[in-house]
Amino acid sequence: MVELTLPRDSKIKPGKRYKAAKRTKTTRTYKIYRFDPDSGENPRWDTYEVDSADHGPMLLDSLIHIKNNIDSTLSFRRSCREGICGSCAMNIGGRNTLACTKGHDEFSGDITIAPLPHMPVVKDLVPDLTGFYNQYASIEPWLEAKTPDPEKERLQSPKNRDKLDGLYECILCACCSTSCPSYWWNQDKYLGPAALLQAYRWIADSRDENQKARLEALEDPFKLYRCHTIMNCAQVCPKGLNPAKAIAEIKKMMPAK
Amino acid sequence: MSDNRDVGARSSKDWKKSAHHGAGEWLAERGTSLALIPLTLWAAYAAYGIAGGGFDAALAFAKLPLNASLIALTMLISVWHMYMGVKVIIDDYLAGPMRGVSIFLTFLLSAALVIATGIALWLVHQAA
Repeated sequence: MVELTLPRDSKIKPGKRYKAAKRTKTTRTYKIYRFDPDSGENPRWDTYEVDSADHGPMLLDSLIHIKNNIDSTLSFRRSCREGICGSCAMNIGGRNTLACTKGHDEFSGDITIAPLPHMPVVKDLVPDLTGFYNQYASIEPWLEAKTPDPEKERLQSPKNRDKLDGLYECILCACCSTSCPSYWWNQDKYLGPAALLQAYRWIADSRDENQKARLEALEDPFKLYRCHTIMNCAQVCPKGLNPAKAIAEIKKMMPAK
Repeated sequence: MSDNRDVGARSSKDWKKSAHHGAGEWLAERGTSLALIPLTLWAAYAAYGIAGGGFDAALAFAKLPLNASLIALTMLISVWHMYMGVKVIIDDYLAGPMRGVSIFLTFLLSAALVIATGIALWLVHQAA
């Protein structure tokens, strides 16, 4: 259900300011969301002044620099640092993206960094994605075939393989789902763009033999039809995919199933 | 650190359940939208035609069987389209008992509009 204001214990308060010893032309200011459930305190905005010349070009480099040199209590997820694991998905400058593929020089002025919107926060920039992963698991993201296994691999024509382009590249970073207002209000009932794009990835696969059951499992006013082509998903996807188009393809297939 | 995981999150098994409807409503939304394109153009053209003619011109227009049928069809499809649209907004923003009450009130208003159209056309038909 829609929530127009934050609950009282989620209201963000001003926090600490970590000033640079000496400001230079390359000093950037980062305003970072901090929350520790163990403290019992409300979330706060901590401000860090960092000289960009001291670290690499990406925002993940800035965060690692802050953690290593200024404030070791800052928590965030990261792994591959090259846009393929999806761990460092967060809201930067008001837009969901991957910290490892976003350069700090792409922003002017202060840079605001918050966790993915409208998700429970485990700590600081770490959102709880339990519900998101359960949604993904529910679409049965694996090939389902009734015919006996062939001697070697299941073959696919180049034309059918092309149908998976724009789908298989999804890294499940959750940038799309957590940018979607429909997902904000109804994430307990709506699967969201990421799970639906993944569902279509298997529906569109010529080797999968469970298309009808997959479509039947998705036919639901809330699971599928909460998508109103708002298109935030396509706008923020760090891999340049279009989940809204995949959802539209599912909707087009549904009446004929 | 405390375990702050979302324990209320639905399990993947629970997510597999589906209501097994939705495609029909989706088609109806698009079907009524398409039908309303010519009907709205006709209604605008008709309104332009009787503009300035007063009550008598409107009555004469609505008495013709073809016009009466098209008025009924336009109203029926408009109200159906409106009901579906408002229900989508209610489903998006409300949950719990408020959702059911709002949908019921929207249905009552929609039914009242259709019934009022029927009564109005019947009265026109009865008028000398």
